Amino acid sequence: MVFNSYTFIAFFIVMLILHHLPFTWKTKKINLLLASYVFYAAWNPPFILLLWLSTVVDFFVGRALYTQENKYKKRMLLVISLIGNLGMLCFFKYGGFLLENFVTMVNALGIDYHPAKPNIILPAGISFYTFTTLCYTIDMYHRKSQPVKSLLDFSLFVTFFPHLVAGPIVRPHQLVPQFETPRKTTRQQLMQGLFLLSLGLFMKVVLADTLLAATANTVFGFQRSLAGLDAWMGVLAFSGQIFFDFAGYSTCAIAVAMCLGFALPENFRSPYAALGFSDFWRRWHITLSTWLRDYLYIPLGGNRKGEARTYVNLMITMLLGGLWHGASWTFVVWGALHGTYLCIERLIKDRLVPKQTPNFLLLPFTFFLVNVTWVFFRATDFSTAWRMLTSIFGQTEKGTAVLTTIDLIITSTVVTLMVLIHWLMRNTSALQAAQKAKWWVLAGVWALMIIGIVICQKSGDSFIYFQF
Amino acid sequence: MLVIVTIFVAALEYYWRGRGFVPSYNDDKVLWATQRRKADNPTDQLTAFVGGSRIKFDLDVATWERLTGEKAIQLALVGTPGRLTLRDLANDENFKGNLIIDIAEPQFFSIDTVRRDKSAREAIEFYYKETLAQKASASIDYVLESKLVFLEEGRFGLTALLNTLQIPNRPGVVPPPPCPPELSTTDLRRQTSLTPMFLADPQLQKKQIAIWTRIPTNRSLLMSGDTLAAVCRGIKASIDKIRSRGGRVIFVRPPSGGDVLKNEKKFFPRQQYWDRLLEYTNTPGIYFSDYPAIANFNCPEWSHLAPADGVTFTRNLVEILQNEKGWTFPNSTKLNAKH
Repeated sequence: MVFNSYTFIAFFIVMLILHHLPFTWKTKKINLLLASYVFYAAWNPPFILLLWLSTVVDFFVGRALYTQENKYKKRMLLVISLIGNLGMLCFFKYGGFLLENFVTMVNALGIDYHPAKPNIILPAGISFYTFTTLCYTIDMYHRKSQPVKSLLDFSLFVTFFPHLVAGPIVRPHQLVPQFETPRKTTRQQLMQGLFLLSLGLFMKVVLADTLLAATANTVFGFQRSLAGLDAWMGVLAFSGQIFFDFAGYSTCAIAVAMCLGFALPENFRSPYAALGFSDFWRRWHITLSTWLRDYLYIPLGGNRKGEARTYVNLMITMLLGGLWHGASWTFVVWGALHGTYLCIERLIKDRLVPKQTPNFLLLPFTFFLVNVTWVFFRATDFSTAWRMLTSIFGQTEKGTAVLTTIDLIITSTVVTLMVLIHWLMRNTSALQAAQKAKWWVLAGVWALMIIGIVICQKSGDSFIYFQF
Repeated sequence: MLVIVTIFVAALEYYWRGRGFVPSYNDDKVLWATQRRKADNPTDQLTAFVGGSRIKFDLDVATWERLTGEKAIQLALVGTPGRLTLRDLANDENFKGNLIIDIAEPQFFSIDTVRRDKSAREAIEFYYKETLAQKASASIDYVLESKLVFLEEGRFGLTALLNTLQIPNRPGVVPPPPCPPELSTTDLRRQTSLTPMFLADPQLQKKQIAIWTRIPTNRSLLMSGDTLAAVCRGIKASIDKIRSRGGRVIFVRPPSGGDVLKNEKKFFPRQQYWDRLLEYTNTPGIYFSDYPAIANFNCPEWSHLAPADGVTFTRNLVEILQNEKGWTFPNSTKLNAKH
């Protein structure tokens, strides 16, 4: 079920009522867990078995990892957990990709091998909940925190519906303690939650789906060379669409949890106001970048093993981060470009201009390069990416104009406002800004957002990050 | 905040109703998928209609069901050739019904499949991927759309409203002109009809005629020779699959008029297109001008029939099918009583 659907509105109203009835805390948690399974099963009921398997295996393996003293057995347990979690992810997400590359390789060696294409359906949110359970077992291995005492709390930690299918990716210490003690939603939490829910839906329904998606789809779907203006507008439209789509989902997730009295971590912090790439990754998909930092980059050695290893570690982290987004070489290139940007930035800071204060001209430069990388993220194949790049850098003759004037006006207006608002809200959040605003301004903005959702009416379109 | 939103929504609904609009349904992939599910019912007493807009306006589903005593499902998609839907039904072993394929030459014989098949591709993909939650959402949506005019996204959504702005485009950018919102309504069974407002207003009809006649015909995108033969082979393969399961298939070329018909005749000579299609696919067809009972309708905007004429067209079409094409409708009490 997606947040921007009538089904979710009905589901959420029932959940709010149930959660505010005078049940015991345990009953409320059971309600939340059952509701989370209903929320997930509304996509494809059989995949709930995978979720159960992942939950049960990691609960018991996590506990055993924490108590096991024998180093050999402890490592074996960790390997079992890693194989279980990553094996499932590899099979469902990368099975087809691996086979396709294997076939290409053996065909290049002259072996005539053409197996049937596997028809594997990707379970919704598998990349997200795999990372959620993985960090638990790794934490247990390192004894960074206590094992979760009850299977109910652990199941709810993994399955809690607001974050289940597209994050934010939560860590045990962020959510489990909230399940262990009874919580009651305050009136302020409820109102703030409803405000954020309206904001998240506005970002998804109005800005991403209604105002930007069609332009991005037209441009990236065009099979011939494009006029430079059209290619740029398509890239900028996607840049806005991917932000509003994903940040919209995260905002809805945080909002829904807040209405139920829980706090989820922030996932976006005005990323297009970033001054450089390390700053960008502190602002974009924060829970993924911190996960990759803590469970990949630092275990690889981080910056502790010399300069050369630091760059290698950065590249490995970003390449795998790219591959996490999708089973395609275009995502790997996207990750590689970001890795390269980070390496160059680090090199400049370390060697060339070590103590320079942030230069605000870095904003347009960062935004420009981030947009170039989005070409690989959005393009379905390299020929599309190449066609787009040659069009945006003016390397094509007689590119075709495909966008209407109204498309150009909408995209340029929305993207300009987006960057401006990111800049103005660089060091604050939507809730903080709302708290500072006068009541009538807040009421007006809130009403405009809901009116926007009502007149756009695009309900039920999936979020882009569901495919990851 | 709630007061502002409530006042706005009430005013918006009042405004559209004040202009004479009544509740209608979004003719989108969700509604299409709801109808498509009915084709999965393995019965031979069912007829599906595929193609573009003409069969959606001209064929009255309720009249068809009343006369034949059989179920009918409207699967045509506006602006599409219907070939993808044909292939989808042919590959669906559960579909054992009959098929009527609407032929509007500019769509059916175009090689611009990326654009022409877009909505069909999306609808079919949505049908196969539709989740339980989406089905439940659709049910709630239908209840709301049946009560509130402004909820019809295709005519009153923000995108539709923005598209009505008359802002000149750059040379070479020629988007399809937006049809006036008064043109048509669609019901829950995907029956599309010209509205009474449209039929009563000659200016609106002229405006719509100008839209149809301004759509350019790009000769480089028309099928011919080997391409036409290859497409027909694909169509025949699909038709053969349906026939192997006991289904009957027929092509129908509904009426058009004025310069629209003149252009269709000019760019798509009957011998080169219609006759070849029938020959290549070894499938019967009904070309409107060959049958006096359906030859003389007046299309108010030169492309579609008025609802009352749609009822007559359907009645006469059923009779032609039964009397001249050998179709039988065992459940039809009305037809059996008449003949």
